[in-house]
Amino acid sequence: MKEIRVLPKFVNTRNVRNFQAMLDALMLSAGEGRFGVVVGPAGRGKTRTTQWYAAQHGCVFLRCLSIWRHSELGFLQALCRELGIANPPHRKDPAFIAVMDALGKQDGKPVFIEEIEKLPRLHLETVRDLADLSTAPFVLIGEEDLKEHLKQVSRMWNRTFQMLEFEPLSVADVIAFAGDAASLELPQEVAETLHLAAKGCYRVMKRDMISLVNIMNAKRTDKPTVEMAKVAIKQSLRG
Amino acid sequence: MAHESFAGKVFAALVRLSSDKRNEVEVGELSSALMIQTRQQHKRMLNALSDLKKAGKVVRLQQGVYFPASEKNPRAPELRAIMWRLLRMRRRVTVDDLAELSGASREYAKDWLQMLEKRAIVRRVPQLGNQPHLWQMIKDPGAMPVDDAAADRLRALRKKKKQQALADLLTAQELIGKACQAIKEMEAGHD
Repeated sequence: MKEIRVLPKFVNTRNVRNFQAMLDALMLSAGEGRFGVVVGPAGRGKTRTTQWYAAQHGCVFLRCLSIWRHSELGFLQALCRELGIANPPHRKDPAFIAVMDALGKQDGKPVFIEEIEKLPRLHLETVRDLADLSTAPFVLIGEEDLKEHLKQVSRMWNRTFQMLEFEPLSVADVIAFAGDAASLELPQEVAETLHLAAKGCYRVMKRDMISLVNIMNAKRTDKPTVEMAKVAIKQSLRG
Repeated sequence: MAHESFAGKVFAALVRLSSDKRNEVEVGELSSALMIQTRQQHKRMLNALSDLKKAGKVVRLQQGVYFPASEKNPRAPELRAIMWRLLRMRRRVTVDDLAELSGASREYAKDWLQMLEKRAIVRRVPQLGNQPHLWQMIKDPGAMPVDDAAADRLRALRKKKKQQALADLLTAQELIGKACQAIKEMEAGHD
């Protein structure tokens, strides 16, 4: 029997499809202050999906750092660097203008900002100003706190085009992953076992799937069973 | 057969050359393919390219470099550019991370990371047990580093091709000379 391998392949799960649909719609909309929001607990694949999209489309992706809490300058300078400005200005006003200018040359590509909920409200206002004045679409990515954080700035909440909630992994996603990454036809009951153990977390499911494939290769079979899946889950958790 | 316009010939040559090799075509290559001999003809070819560009049939990548608009843009984001963006976003990656998110093969992603390691842009962080190595970015130069080795290989290949073409040209000239000589001798013999 030929050895089964789990290839590093980006799988279009339901969340990825919803994400792409949201961005397609966001890009079609026009005018000032276009915001998209992506929320969900850790492990649902928000960051991975966003980074994949940003890398493929040449978009800016910025992860906010707590160190920028006390001033917007660090945030603006980081945006400058991501937008290709080698030597960002050392004062807020020129940095803001430099970001605006660079956004104008982005051909309307979305800008992804992650974990802005770590920063004070003033930073959100800065992002709103940037979005309003440059008309570039901004997509904010974060956990549940982001929703509450945004609601505090009503003018921003009003401008939010769509809020996408990353849902827990579905059984269909588990089957799709097995098919795409390992060319494996996963029986429903095996997929359900893996799905239940993963508790909606993509990373855990992936780890269990690799263990399952290792067990199948050791047993020289291409027919996964529920027992094998249970052993794989146990092994993964122990490891 | 209908008479083909000069612009048509230029476009046909551009399509042929672009499909022959790496998609983008330099005007010098196009000129050679069209067997252009004089400066006036070369200027005429440039004018034809300019008209074709205005008509949207060709795309100018930079001064003197074109490709047919119907073809895939050879300067569309390369895998390396995608991997570079991912590395800058994540700062720490595994080979599988890069391969998964960029669509590159594991081997290509690993080669590329090794090239960056030699430039002291990333360092390999061994992990415990069977865990794959982590590659950590230790210096961010902003712009994507160019793979000089690959560029050198391409340059050497082009040089070799040029030398071959020149050698072929010399051989052809020699043969033409011999043929002319033979014709002259035949004509002299005939008289």
